[in-house]
Amino acid sequence: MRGTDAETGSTTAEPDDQELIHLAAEGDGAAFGRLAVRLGRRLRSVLFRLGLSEPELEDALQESLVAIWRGAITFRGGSTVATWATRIAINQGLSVIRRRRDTPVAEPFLADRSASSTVEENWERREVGEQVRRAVLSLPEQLRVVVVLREYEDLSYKSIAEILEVPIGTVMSRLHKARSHLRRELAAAL
Amino acid sequence: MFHRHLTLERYELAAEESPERAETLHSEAARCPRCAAAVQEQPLRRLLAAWDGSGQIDRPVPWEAALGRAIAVPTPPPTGSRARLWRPMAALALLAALLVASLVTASASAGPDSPLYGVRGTQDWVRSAVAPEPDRARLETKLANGYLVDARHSAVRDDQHASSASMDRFSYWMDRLRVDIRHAARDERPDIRASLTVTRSLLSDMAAAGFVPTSVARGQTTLMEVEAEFEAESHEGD
Repeated sequence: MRGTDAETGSTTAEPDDQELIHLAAEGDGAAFGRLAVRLGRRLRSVLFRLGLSEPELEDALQESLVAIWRGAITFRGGSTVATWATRIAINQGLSVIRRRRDTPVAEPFLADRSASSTVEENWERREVGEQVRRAVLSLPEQLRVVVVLREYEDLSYKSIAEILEVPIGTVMSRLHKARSHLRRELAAAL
Repeated sequence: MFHRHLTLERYELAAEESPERAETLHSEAARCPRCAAAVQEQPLRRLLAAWDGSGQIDRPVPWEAALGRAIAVPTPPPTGSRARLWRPMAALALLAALLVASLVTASASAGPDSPLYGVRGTQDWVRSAVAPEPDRARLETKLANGYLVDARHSAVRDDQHASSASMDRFSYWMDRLRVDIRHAARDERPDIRASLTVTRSLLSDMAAAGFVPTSVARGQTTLMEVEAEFEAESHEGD
């Protein structure tokens, strides 16, 4: 991706993730910020789908970003930056879940904002959404993670295997079990 | 004949790795009801999408707060080691060496409020003084950017004193850079150019945010002079 420098008029290359992480490793806070904004949505999404409550999510997200900043200096490029960062976020999220004593907190379901939906459609969508949420959160952690990465983040098997540092066959096996569980739980909705 | 049933996961993996292989599997699956069911379109993903998280997912990323936490001066390592020291003089020498090493390490990130800020300044000056002339410009861009990041961080925390102190040091290294950049090694120029891009970006952010406006404006002027010098040297070398 190339952009035009506003001051000199010359075209400059937009730094890719690898360049940004190396700049961050040298102490460049702005580069870190740009990287964080690029990765932020995925990190938030993963932490949310793992079942963290809102305050837990914000804290885990911050801890993930801190870990990314501090780990930048040791990043060797063995995987993509996004893969490495996602792994960090997942580990943070799972740490939160394991530290918890209670079962996942029932999150207030956020209202649908579609202006064209009827009240009934909204209610039905809420109900189904809540069923799905409970079904996903009822999965054991290992299975939940692969569902989140595959069904919500739309990552390839290879990417998921790299993030979780397991063989592709393990990813397939876990996903198969997870999908079977979800189909049973959501049979009525299906 | 033994037949290994196709699963959706095997089919998806094949589709990712080789569309031709996936097409073959799809054709073969038609001969087995169980396999055929596996490759049919699954409504599961569409159903799972009903769990809407956009309210929590589509939010700004608090990277500045995270950066603030990340670059906070670390707490000193826990004391209490019980090494047995048989020779008091050797023990004192070891302690002195450890203290110096700790000072050097801790001072590298010391902010204006830290008692080690002066040590950091001295350390930076020594590094520049001992660096070979062709390497000095690259070092000075890194030092300048380090102080600029500190200044921005202090400004975000509304610490005007610390921010101004860091900008003073940034200016000092930029002034040195303006002189030394003409002697920069050719193979270091790409790194220097990248660092100057960062400097420009940081200063733009700070100007837009209204942080230490006088210092930032002066910094932008100095940067333009440095860049002009840099480009002039680059063209002469072509």
